[in-house]
Amino acid sequence: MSASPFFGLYLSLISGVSYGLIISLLAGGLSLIYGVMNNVNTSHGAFYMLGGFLTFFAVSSLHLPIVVSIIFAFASAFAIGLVFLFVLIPKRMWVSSNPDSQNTVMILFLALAQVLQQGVFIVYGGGSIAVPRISFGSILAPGGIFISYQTLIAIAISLLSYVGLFLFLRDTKIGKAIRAFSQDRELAEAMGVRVSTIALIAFGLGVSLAALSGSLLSSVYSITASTGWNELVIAFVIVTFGGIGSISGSFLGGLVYGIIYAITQYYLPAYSFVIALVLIYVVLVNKPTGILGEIIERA
Amino acid sequence: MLGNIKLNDVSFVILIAALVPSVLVPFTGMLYLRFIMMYFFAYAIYTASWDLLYSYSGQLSLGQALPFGLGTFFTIMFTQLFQLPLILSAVLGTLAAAAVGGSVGATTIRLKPGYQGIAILLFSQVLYWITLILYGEEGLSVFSATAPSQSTVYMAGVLVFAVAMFAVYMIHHSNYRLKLFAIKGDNLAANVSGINVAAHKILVLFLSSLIAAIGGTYYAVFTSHADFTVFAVPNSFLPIGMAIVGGTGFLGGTIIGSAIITVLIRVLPIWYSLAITYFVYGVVVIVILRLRPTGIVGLLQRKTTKGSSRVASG
Repeated sequence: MSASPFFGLYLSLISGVSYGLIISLLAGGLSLIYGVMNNVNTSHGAFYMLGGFLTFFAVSSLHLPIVVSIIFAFASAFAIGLVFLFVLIPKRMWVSSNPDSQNTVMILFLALAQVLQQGVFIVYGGGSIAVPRISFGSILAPGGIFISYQTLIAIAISLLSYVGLFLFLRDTKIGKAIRAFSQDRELAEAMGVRVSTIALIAFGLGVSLAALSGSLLSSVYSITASTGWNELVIAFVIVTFGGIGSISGSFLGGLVYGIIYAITQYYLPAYSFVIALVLIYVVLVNKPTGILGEIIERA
Repeated sequence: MLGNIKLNDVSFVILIAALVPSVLVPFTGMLYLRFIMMYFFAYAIYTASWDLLYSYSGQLSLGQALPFGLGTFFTIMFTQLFQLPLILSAVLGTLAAAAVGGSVGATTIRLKPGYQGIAILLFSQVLYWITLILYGEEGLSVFSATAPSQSTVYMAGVLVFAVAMFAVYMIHHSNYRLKLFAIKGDNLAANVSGINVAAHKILVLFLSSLIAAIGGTYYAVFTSHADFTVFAVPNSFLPIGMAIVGGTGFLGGTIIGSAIITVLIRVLPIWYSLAITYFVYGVVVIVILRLRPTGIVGLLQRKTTKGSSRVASG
């Protein structure tokens, strides 16, 4: 019996949704940071890489269970992010609409990315790391394809993270302050929102989402010390595609990118990354504000 | 045109101070120094191209390796695959790289400033993968029995360095710079004043691409090799760090920063690994940007100005 011509497409769709959801966490983090701080975190890809290595460190050196290791990576990235923000970026530049300050911050983050990558290279070398899967085995889905538990768990964690982020932004005092600050900085400040606190939380949360994305994907894709630059570019494309500063736009953009990537991966594996990026970029050139408009998240 | 040259200008003094020993190096017989100097010529031109874009028109490119790498690849491709003479390959390679680099950059001018930088990086990453897929990790190399001697290549480097740097110096000291400053300061105000902001931004992108391509082409000529790593992000970070260390907005800063970092990344690996070298490089850039944002030449200029003020006040 020959396989259906749509079998590959169906398989790519499942894989694309899973990959897209995880990678959209990375983009969501970048978007959150930009929405609050007005700065592009060019070290975002390095935090993605760091997420994978922190998980590997927790599993192999601290002998923690894999799920605890993922939480460890998330929390550690939050703390590391805060430390670097304090040490590297002058406080007056944390939130800035001055192009010179924004450029300086981008260059500082870029230098940080280089330092993080070379630092990891010095400690772990240039080889790829192997993070164990959360679960083995698979289930038979309609259409006769097998979906691994790992894929389902990764999808579930991504969706839970989005729900958590959504509730955090909607219901908590800090979340409301972040949204207020993103929409009208001056008014939010006048109402007593502290800029530095909001910036710290947004940055910490943003890089933690990047680390979570790296942590979840490290058991599926190989991660090395030089990983991260492609992911920075992918996150940028997704964020711009979904609308800069929009978390729901990142979610949608991540899904679109993941599906395009997975389909091209099936038909033209060598050029999948290139085709997916160029296709989305063509859309961006014609609609620079993204598909969902821009700037402010209205959670 | 030559009236724009100011003999007491720090940048001009540094340019001359770099050129004079460069001409003398071949007579010292120090082969390793000559080797490092060739890297210095390519990197200084490369850094000047990035600084022209950043300091004068306010456009931040995080993927300057795009025109530089294209210059390298096109030159090697024309020489090796199409069997063209080296000089013709170099000229065609430079022009083709400038055209592609400038065209790609032109598609990004509508993006927000921060995102423009990453958009150019995107194309650089795309080329990184395409060249890796097409030519593998070994890349392309030129093997020719009639290749010019190392001395000839070195002197060609001195000439290219002098011409490119002088051209950038003239742009820095021309009236055109004022238009670029206006665009950098406020796009809207510049537009209202009658300056065609989009056209000038594109023009500077092409100029910057041309200069970066010249650096990339010379890099291809003295290494006789091109591979995917030329498009890697650390290579795009190279001119940024060099300009920051020397001081952005000054040609002298470009030259001093390139000299210091070239020595750092070419000499340190003799004792330490490349990872440690680039780790140190990243730390140096962070420290300078945090503590001395105007770089080394900014510091020199401040001291010169203070000295002049003291003399003036008697």
